[in-house]
Amino acid sequence: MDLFLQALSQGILVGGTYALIALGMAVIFSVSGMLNFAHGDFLLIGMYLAYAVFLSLNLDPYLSVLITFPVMCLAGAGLYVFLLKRLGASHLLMAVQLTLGLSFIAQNTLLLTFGGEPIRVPSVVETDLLLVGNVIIRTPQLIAFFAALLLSAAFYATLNFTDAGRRVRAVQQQPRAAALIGINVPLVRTLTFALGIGVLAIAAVLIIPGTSMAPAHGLRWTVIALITVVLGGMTNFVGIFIGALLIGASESLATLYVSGTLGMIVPYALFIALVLFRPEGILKRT
Amino acid sequence: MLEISGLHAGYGAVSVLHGVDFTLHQGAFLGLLGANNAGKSTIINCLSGVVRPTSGHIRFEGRELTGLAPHKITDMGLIQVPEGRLIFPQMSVLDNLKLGGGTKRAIAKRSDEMERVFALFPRLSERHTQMAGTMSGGEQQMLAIGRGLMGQPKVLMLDEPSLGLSPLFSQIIFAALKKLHEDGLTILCVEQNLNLTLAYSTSGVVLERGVIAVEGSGPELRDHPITRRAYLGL
Ligand SMILES: Nc1ncnc2c1ncn2[C@@H]1O[C@H](COP(=O)(O)OP(=O)(O)O)[C@@H](O)[C@H]1O
Ligand SMILES: [Mg+2]
Repeated sequence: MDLFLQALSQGILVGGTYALIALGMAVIFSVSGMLNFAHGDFLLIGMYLAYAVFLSLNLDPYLSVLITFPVMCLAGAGLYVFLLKRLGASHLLMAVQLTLGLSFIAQNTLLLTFGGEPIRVPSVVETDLLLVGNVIIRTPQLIAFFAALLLSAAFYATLNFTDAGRRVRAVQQQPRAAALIGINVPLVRTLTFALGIGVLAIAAVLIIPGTSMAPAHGLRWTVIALITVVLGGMTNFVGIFIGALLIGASESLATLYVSGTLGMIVPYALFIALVLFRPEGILKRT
Repeated sequence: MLEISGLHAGYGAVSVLHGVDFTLHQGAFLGLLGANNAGKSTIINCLSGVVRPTSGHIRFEGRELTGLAPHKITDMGLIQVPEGRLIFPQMSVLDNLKLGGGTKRAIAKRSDEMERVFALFPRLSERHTQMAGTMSGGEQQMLAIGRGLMGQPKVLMLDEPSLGLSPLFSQIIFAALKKLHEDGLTILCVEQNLNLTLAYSTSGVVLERGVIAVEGSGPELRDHPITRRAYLGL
């Protein structure tokens, strides 16, 4: 029982970070109709940026986010303005290919710069533990979960209850009408891309303590984000958050009960089952 | 107030407008008439900056509009209520209206204007929490007009507001436009429905094969042979 609770709590805590990564992907999808297949690689760029800041300034990852967040926002804005905007909405398949290409470029650039060996970045809380009953909780995971929860809630509230959020939804639902009522559609898209990639800088420093990184990890993160977004119903932020916790928990439990490598497959099996039987996502009312 | 001269536009290799000239005067309620596919929407979309003209001039209060982005044109007070209404379907009536009043020029007057829109279309007030996409076509047209009004237009341009509506709803919409016109709003209304438009507008222009074939007052246009030809292909 203790082992079960241990795995469950760990999975749920990790799921919080998955949610944050998936929200970045969802928000980009919602205003551009485009899935970013380089999403996980951008996350890794965020992690390596934090590593570089640590090497040069000896800053803890939790502090370096003040530098990496704006840098990643700029990268997101650049991605839209210089590459994807030019393709236009009618070339979704090309956009997908383009992000796949970016994924290779990012991966190889990281490989050339930092080498392929897994790297860990030290952090103040890295080894802190908390005991709840008989369940051991790693402090960085707890921090990551609550930071992700808070950010997701802020995302949700902004999107639903502010003028800025209404503009984003307007561009998502009816871009032509959005332009006609005075919304600067390209600007909204650029800012949304900036935020969708920028949030990865935050996710990166939440993941870093206690986790190793290697350039080849990008695809795994992309796949996690992708299945979370699909599970959640593409643009339903509450659904995405719950989906992320489900994936985190199922991954963790499966690793415990089924065996390490095979267990990693279970979330994907779950995903395939859901896509077959509930392609509209877990929360969508019909 | 709005002068269009020598307007050419098209899509790729297909040219649709071959030199359109007309003027919209302050306080007018002008009907822009023509058969299906005559190029009416193309004109109104050039005015809104959604379609780029290949040549010609559009001057609004003396300022050249060609080349400006749509949101800039809207923020100058030239506001289009698009064909097919294009309301934001997964948002409430209230959110749709708020969005319409979110521009720099309009935001300070947003709550006052909302009252006026609700007075014009009480149905919107009754349904203000409803998801816009679940409303009837006529109600959606009211919402689209309300959303346009929220932007504080100097000129309101409507693209086929009666399209797909019952005769009753069409009358309600045009009666509302007439009221807005009497209150001082300048209106450009694109329509296929000749009789309805001429009954409410002060004058009209008829578009035929990409040029303005004839212009005049309602009675002049109604029986004009060119109007009949433009519509019936006679
Ligand atoms: N986005 C577009 N791409 C290509 N052709 C178009 C497009 N929009 C309209 N057209 C063509 O331009 C012509 C005029 O269309 P339009 O301005 O919509 O006419 P109307 O509004 O008078 O019915 C039509 O032949 C139509 O097929
Ligand atoms: Mg049309």
